[in-house]
Amino acid sequence: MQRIKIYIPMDSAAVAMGANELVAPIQEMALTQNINVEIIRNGSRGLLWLEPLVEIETPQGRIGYGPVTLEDLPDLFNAGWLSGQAHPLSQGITDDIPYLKNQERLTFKRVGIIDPLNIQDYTNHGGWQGLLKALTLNDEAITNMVTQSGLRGRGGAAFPTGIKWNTVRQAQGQQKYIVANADEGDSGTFSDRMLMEGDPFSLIEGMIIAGLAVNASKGYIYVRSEYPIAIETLQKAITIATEHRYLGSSILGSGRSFELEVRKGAGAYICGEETALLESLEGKRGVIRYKPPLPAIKGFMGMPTVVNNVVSLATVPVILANGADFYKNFGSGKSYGTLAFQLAGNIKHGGLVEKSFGVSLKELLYDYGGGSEDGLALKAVQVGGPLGAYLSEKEWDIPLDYEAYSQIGAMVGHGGIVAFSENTDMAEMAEYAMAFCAHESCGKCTPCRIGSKRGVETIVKIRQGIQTQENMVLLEELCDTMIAGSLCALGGMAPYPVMSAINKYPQDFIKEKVQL
Amino acid sequence: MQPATLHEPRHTHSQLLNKILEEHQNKEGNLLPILHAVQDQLGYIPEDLIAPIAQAINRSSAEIFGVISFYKHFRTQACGDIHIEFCQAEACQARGSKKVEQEVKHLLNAHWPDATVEPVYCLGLCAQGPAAMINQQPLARVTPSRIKAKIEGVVTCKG
Repeated sequence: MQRIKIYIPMDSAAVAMGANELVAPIQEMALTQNINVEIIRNGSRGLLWLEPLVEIETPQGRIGYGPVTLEDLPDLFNAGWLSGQAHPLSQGITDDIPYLKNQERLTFKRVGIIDPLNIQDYTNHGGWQGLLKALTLNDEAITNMVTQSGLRGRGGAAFPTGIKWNTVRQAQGQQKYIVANADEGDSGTFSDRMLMEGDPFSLIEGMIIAGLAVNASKGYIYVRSEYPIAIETLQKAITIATEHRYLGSSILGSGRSFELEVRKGAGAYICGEETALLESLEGKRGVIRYKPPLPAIKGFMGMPTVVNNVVSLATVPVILANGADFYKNFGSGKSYGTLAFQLAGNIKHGGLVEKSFGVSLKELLYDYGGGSEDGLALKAVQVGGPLGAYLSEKEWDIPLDYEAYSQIGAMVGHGGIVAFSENTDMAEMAEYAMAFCAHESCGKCTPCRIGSKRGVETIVKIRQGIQTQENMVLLEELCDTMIAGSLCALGGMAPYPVMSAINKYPQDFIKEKVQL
Repeated sequence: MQPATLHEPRHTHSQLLNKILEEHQNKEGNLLPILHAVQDQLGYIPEDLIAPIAQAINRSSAEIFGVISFYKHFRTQACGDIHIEFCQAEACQARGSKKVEQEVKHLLNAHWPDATVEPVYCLGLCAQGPAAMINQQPLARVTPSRIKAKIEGVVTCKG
């Protein structure tokens, strides 16, 4: 009997749309048609409006059907979907869907393609090539390669990864650590989650290479508690990688050791800030530390520590396997390589788009995203998470690269893009930005702790039309104080969405006064 | 689906804690893993376990309490058998989450008054909002009817 491969994603985005409930009925219905099927739980291809996107392997390639619900199954079977027949839900050959075809997937090349927990699948798709190369190099050579690639931190701060590694490499300490920051708390971002759920071995490989580069033998992946599926996938992947001797006391018999453990966060946004994360990892309140000393010198348990974002670490194997120049050839200006942009919010075709830096928001919002989901005109776009500025339409042609964005007071950050349509009240969003800061402040510094509370109160007054002009001046001064006086980016950047909303959408702040 | 809480008699709490403490004793910075393990098994962290945890890892009860109270995920009271974490963040707001959350709360009041709803800030389902977690299971494109179907599934599973 012929055996047909069916891919049903186990990514949270698919599970949240009922992917798990499809597995047993598909098996049963195939059996009644006397067809032997093998169900593979892959990651997500990143076309999130189609989840659950079920793919059938055919001689022509993998054919996608989505979004598939339980109710659709009888009809799909009748149409002959297991041999790739036409159906209204058919998306054709998945690889040929323009949304995917026009991407430049380097870090995410395996996500959605392979079985995330099949180590052979990982190997067959180019996995471990970076590690094998690293094992032939000394620590300095590995670090230089990462520096030369131009890779910068993908968590948002965009600090050159190789330079950070070099500091840790040269620092003195009995024990050094590699910490993956998987506390992906910014609204509009999900690339870390997709990678951990869809290709966990790539993160593990990147961390082992980082360990070799700085002579660290221990690593932690700090994952937020809101990501239970990612946590479970990583734990299983670590067990499998240890069984295959990629992790443990002698990596592939090299005599070099690396141990890895997953740690679960507990619902504190601030723990995405690296020093708060380290405090949390040490079992303390996630209160930020003064810098210096940098974590690279005194990090986890006071020892030299690399703290890198998940996507940064998972990109390292690509660089080692293909060379620094290969990676550096992608990108624009001083932003080398690719970024996994995440299209979110009020957008028709939300999902993950990995592209070279330099792509414009307009391209992402319309060519990929297909405009707003509610059919209204798009009004504002927040790039880089809750601390990123709101961008109005006239800024949507600016190329997405770190420097071009910083020139307009915005940030590319982690590549999260949240679209808002015309019916959004930007004064409400400004109030939310301050309220979020107040809610998530660790409380260590006054500008953030008190400033954000006062910020909420002041914006509420402005929205009520109470002494609007005076309160606007007050709010502006408050924002200046927070930017200049906060210890970390939470208090130091929360004013950016607030001020950008005021400057670009003043009508939203004065309309209530007109009504009075 | 696992129920959100299990009500065990007290003496088993200390047995459970001893087992957890033993499993985590050699870990660096083991407090969060210990607290998670307790909450995962009991549904919350009973306050009478704070002192024994403090003693076992050589820290003060005040410090342990400080850690528990800092992190929004930890709780010292049991939550409802149906526990919903509803995303409040921007991407979900852009997709109308505020209105849907109110509708969901009305639905719960009418049918499952003991259900607990907690705010959460981003579940990484930002292209498919409004998003929520129901007893640790993710749900996207939330509507009152999708919540209802999910809860009914949960109740059925519990028999």
